[in-house]
Amino acid sequence: MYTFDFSWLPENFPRLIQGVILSITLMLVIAPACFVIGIIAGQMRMSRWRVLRIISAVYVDLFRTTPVLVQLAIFFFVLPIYFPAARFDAFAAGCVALSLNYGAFFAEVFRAGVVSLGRLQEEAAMALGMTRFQAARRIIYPQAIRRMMPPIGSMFVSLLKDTSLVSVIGVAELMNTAQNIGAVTFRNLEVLLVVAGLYVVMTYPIALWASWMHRRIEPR
Amino acid sequence: MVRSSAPGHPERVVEVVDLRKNFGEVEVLRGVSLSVNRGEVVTIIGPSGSGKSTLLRCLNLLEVPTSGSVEVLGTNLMGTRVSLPLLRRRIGMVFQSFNLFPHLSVLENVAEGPRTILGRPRDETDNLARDLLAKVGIVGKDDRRPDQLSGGQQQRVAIARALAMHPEIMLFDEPTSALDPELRAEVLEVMRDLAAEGMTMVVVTHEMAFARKVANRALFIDGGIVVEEGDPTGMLREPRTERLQRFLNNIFWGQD
Repeated sequence: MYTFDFSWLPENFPRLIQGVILSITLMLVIAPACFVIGIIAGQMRMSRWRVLRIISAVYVDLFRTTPVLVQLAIFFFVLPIYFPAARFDAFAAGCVALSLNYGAFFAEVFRAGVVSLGRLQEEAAMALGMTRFQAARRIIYPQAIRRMMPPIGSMFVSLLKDTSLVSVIGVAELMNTAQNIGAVTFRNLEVLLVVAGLYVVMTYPIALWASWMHRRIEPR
Repeated sequence: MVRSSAPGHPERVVEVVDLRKNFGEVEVLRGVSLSVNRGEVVTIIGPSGSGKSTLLRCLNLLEVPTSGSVEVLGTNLMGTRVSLPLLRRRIGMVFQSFNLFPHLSVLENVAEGPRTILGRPRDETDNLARDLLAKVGIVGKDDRRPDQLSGGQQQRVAIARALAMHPEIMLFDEPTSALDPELRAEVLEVMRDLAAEGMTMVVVTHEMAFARKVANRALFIDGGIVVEEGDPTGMLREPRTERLQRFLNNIFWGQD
């Protein structure tokens, strides 16, 4: 019978909290970045210009058809070759890879949001005399982003959990820290249980926010 | 109430000659001509699919004509250097399905045009919006969302929204077709008041009473061409063509 031993915990707890902080930092960097990338790529996908549509489609499809782990590794190993001066560290590589990956998904969510609005809102804005830019900024985007909020909530939950993937390229976020503690204390199961609990504590507020968004927006 | 046209030389605000519009293989408009003077109210009637809405939408280039010449407010719309936003500010449009902005309040819907497009300060646009809402009979609902209003109220807000840009001509695309019969009257009343103030209006509609009482002229369109045109009262009472006769019969029996 396995006996649980959490005696390592008090000593290592500060490190775990540092891991938590780095995980949240990753999330705070990547979430707005992929949001912006998604809007740009989604807008390009709906562009009048064929070239922009193709670029966006290739980007979205590439990132949706390859594993995140592969993308992480590629950015970690390949980017330093091209940007040696920029000191492209694991943290930056992780941020870029995950932002581009989630940006590709957001692009589709954003496009779906705009398409579901239909042409009528745009026509109403145009008939008033708005430029395309004014119509997008004042009429289309606010509504499309409102419709995106429920899927955004659940995607941010996934994103926070997926930040654990950057542990493989050595970013000392929560999962990476856990592996290191486990390797020293040989208490892998207990460490993982504590880490699982910490992820629950981090993601639950986002999940609550997401379902609140659902309730607020869906009944319309 | 039939208004006499302005004395002296009337000013042309719409001049459409031999307008054609194809959607792919389908010829929706097959050579339509239309002219509207300032202060005139012209109704366009005809069966669904006749091209009447397409004709209206060509007047502010929501549809791009295939060929022909379209001149609105002195601007040749078939020219290459037309600034659509600048032109559309002077042309109000009211849609069948209202198309209010659902994320904005009633007041914000009306203030949106002058605020965003003309960059007017908020207190000025709010006051303008309140005045226009009062004019269309929507009072005390400034902070409501459009979906909290009845269809008739929404359409009146949509009219106020268009008027907020101080347009020189108003286009109405079946403004009462999506409304219950009892809600139509309130919208038609607002339109009648607008006509009485001298607003130039082009109205696509199935409301024969409106055509007869308010319009100076009526066009009957079918199959993408103008089948009959003239004074609405006489035209609707004694149609010259068998096609209009049949259409009016259908309308009559449909409403019965």
